[in-house]
Formats: sequence, structure tokens, C-alpha cells
Amino acid sequence: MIDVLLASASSLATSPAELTVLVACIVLLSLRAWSDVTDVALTRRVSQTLTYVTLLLVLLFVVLAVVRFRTLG
Amino acid sequence: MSRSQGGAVVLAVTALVLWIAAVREADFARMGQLGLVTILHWPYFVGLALVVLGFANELLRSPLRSHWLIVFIALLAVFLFGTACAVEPIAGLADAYRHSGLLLYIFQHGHILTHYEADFSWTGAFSLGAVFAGFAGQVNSLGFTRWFPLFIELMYLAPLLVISRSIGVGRRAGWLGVALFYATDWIYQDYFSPQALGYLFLLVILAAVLASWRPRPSPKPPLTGFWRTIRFRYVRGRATLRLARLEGRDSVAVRGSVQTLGVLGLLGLISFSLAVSHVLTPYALILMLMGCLMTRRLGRPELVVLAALLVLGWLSLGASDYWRGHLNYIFSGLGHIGSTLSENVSGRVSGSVVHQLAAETRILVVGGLYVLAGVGALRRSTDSRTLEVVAGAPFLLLAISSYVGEGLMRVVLYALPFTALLAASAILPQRSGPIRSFVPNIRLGRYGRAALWSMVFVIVLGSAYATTVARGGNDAFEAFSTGELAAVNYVYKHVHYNDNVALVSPYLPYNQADVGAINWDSIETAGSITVGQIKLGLMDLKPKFIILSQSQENWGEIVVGLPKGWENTLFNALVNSGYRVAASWPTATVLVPATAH
Repeated sequence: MIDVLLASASSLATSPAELTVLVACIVLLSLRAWSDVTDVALTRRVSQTLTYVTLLLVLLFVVLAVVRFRTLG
Repeated sequence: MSRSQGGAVVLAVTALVLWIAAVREADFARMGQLGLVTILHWPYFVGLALVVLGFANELLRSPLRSHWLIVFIALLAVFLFGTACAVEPIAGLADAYRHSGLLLYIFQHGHILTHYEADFSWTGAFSLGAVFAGFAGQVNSLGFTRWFPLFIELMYLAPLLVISRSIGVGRRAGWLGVALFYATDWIYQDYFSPQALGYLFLLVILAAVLASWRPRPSPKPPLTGFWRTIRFRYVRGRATLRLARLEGRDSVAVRGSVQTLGVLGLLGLISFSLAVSHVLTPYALILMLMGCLMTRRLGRPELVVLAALLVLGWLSLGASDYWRGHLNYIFSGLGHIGSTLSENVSGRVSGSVVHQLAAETRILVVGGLYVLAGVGALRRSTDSRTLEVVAGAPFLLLAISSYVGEGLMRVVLYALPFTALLAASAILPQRSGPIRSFVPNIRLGRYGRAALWSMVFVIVLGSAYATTVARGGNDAFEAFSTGELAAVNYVYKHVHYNDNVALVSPYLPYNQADVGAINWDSIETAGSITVGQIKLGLMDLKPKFIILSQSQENWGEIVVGLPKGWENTLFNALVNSGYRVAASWPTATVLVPATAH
């Protein structure tokens, strides 16, 4: 699957990689909101990791979107 | 029935009767260059005055009677947004018909037409409309278009009331703000369109956010000392960018955890609907949610990130048909605020003297509202400056795009509920709250109540009259007669696939069917043009049909400054150049090449 998504630069211009990252971002954001609102007992380390991974994926999504704009635009 | 109750009933019923009389008396065929206001007579203006009188009475009585305030605000909406719907024989604005055509295409084919129009890349509202049309047993959506402006404006009332109660103004100022919203909303974006629905989504999301989170109490300001107060305000202002603030830790959820999660889930869904429905509104939502977060009125930063991801995701993945090959459509306006403003303001004050008067009235209404809003921001005490921040946030959009010369208008519309509440605070400011007013309280003395009543009455009524002029100011060419619709339907009946149909300007009820199968072309120009050039332009299009109509003639006189009767000259020139009349109505004529059968 990964090789289909990221095997070549041109695959970055197609939607699967971007869509996958978008869905991952939404899932992580939902998880973060759910754990915080319902006061799920997370250690500080887990909580921070969740935040950093979410931010990283958001950043990756933005980069993929920019690549798509530049490739197809 | 008590005396005051009886008074309210009499005012409301009399106003409604006068509105019906005004609508029955108005003769659409006699509309002048200034549009709708030229065919309205005294019953309209007296009726509107009675509505505002009733509203002012209810606003300043104790205790407040919410149901009567709602009745008078709804009547205000009927006067301002229902009159054109009732007077004009068919729905106004060509775009309403174009949107009906896009919706019909989805209804008939189950998918969009690719490589057609930018609007078709944001299909959410059209798809929803197609579902509704099917659900209602309609063959198209034209039945929805005529009364849609009044319907959607009344739909805005519920979120507006929630916003006014939750945002930190007094109850009376909240009611006045809602009335001012309607009294100053001349921006004709409530026709059958995705942006009208998107605006409803925007208001619902903001209303839900403001009703779901409260600011965590902030430290009280020092009681004395100018410099101590300034320093306190500076330190508190800096706190808006603290990490804890951006993580939502400075606000408190009003509801329990399950309800808060439920609200977040619903807001996520509505944000998605908005992201796939309209090109500009989601960006305003992101900025306004960011404003809520920074002023302690949103406890979940995930909502802002989610809204931004959905917008970028749809632009990149769902709307690529729009930007593929010409990315400059999206980014060409970045940072060009000066040209955007000039395109949006000075570019619109043009055409005949009457047209300029309508444009200047619009500027006056907005300018007056912003002056009042400025005074309101100085006079009010509160627990958070959300109102000011959210009212200003949409203006950042101007740095991104001029939005084909409409950006400023749209931005003013997005900010309008909040600007109106600030303006209401100029008259009825809240006196309590940890964030104190910038100016001391002004005591009105013995006649305070009478003075307040007079201010409310004059400001709301003056705005409503001005909005009547400003909103209907283009109706002479943006509203249509049945003859014009009949001419378009005649063309639909006789046209073949890929035929060219030529118009002088796009002010006609067209494109409501067979989207993509017929080439509708107009030679509309922003600069000056002569009748001879128009004729040559039309002939160059090699059309199978040419439609001349009253609304296009009015457009030529009002916007371009062509002489009265110019369309007759054009008609004669076309007849002399090989065209003949195929069908005609008192307000429209269809021409075809003389050789056509």
C-alpha cells in the first residue's frame, strides 16, 4: 500500500496519500478531544505525544496539499 | 388582554395589513431606475414605522416580552426581505436561476458536470437542494427560489438570538442587535444560493460555540490609576497568545462531557457541509472560530484545526476541477489589500446618478453601523472581547482575495451580526463585567427612557428605510418579468445542443435547465460601450438566438449610461443585419437569423 502511495513523486500528486493523512488527522483530533473532554486519565507523556503526532500529521497534510497544488496547478 | 398587550396586537396587525396593501398596490411594470422603492407607496413606509414603533416599545418595557419582540423582528424581516418576493412576479437575480440549473443537473444525472463552472466544485448545497427537490416531489427547484430570501432570513433568526444571548451583551442590547442586523442587511446574498445556506451554517456553528463555552473568570482590573489600568490591559491582551489560551484551557464548558462531545461531533459535520458547499464562507468560519478561541469562548482547538483541514482537504481533493491548470485563480489576490478595497468600493459607485445614489446609500448604512459599533466597543463592559474580535476577524479575508470584487461586501456580511450587536451596545451598553468600558457611563437623567426610545426608533427606522433603498436599488435590472422568463423558455423549447444564445448582459432568468448543453454568452462590459459595438459583439457570437429584454435595457441605461431607448436602436440594427423576430412579449423579444426556420 505504502509503495502505491509514496513510490514516486507523482504519487504525491494523486489523492490517496493526502486523503489517508487527512483521515488520520481527523481520527487523532477526535481522539484528543474525546480524551480531554471525558477526562480520560492519560499520562503527560502520552498526552504530549498525541498532540505532537497530530501536529506532525497536520503539517504533513499541508505539505502534501502544497505539492498537489504545485504539481497540478 | 392587558392594555400593553392590546397595543402590541394593534400595531402588529395594522402593520401587516399595511404591508399587504403596499404589496397589492405596487406595480412591478412601473419600476424606476432606483428599483423597488420607486413602486412602494405610503402604506409600506407607515407600516414599517409601526413595526419599529412596536419593537422600540417592547424593547424598553419591563419585563421584556420575548414573544412580542420576536413578532416585531419577524415583521421587520417580512417588510425588508419579503416585499420584493411578493411584488416581483418571479424570483430575482440571474444567479438564482443558474444555481437552479446546477441543482437540476445533479437531480437528473446524479453527479456534477466536470470542467464547467467553479461553483460546481463546491457541490454540497446543490446536492442537498436536489435531495429536497426530490423529497418535495418537484421536477426542479424553481418553486423554491421566489420566497427563498425571506425564508432563509427567518431561518437566521434562531442562531442570531442564541448569539445575542451568549456573547456578553445585555438582553436588551441583544434584541436591538438582532433588529439592527435585519435593518442593515442590504447585502443581497440571501437569494437561492450556496452562500445563503453557508451563512446559516456559519451562524449555527458560532451560536453553538458561544452557547457551549464560557470564559474562565479573569483577574479583576485595578480600581484606580490610569497607568496601572493600561498595564493591566496590556498584560491581559498579551495573554491571548499564550499556549494555554490556544489549547482552550481558559474557557469552561457549559455542558457535561457527553453533551460537549455531541456538540463537537455535530459542529464537525456542519463544518464539513460548509466546506463542501461554498468557497469563501469556511475561511471566515476558521477566522471567527480562532477569534473565539483567543478570547476564551471556545474550549476545543481541535474544532478550528478540523475546520481548516476540511477546507484545505476539499479545495485540494474535491475542488481540483476548479484550480487544475490555473492555480492563480486561488492565489492571485494574496496580499493585494489596496486593489481589493478599490475594486470593492470605488468600482461600485458608478453608472447613472440614481445608481450611484443606491451605491452611496449602501456605503452610508455600513459606515453608520461601524461608527456606532466603535462607540459600542468603547462604552460596553464585558467578561470577554469576543464580540469585537469576531466582528473584525473576517476582514483578514481581504488579504487573501478580492472575491471577484465582492470580497468586502461578503466580509461585512459575515461580521454583520457581531457589528450590529456592538452598535446596539452603543445605545444600551452592559455596565458590569471584569473588562471595563473605555469611557465613563453617560447618565441621561430624567428623560433617559424617552431619549433611549427615540434613539432606538430613529436608528432602526432610519436603517430600515435606507436598506429598503439600498437592497432593492438594482431591482430595475436584477428583477425579472414573466415575459422575460417566457422568452427564455421559448429558447429552451427551440434550441439545439451546443447552440449559441446571445444576451447583451447576463441580467435575465436563464440557465435554469440543460446546463452545459447550451452556450449562453453575453457581452457585458464594465466600461463604456456604444450600441454599434454591442451589435458587432452580438454578431461575432454567431448566435442562433438573441434575447433583448427590459432588464437588459435598464442595465444599459443605469449601469453603462446608454441613452434611453437604446435597445430599440439595437433591435433595428439587428433586423437590418439579417435577424428577424421569432417571438415577442411586452418585456422581451427573441430574434433568430432570418434564414432560420
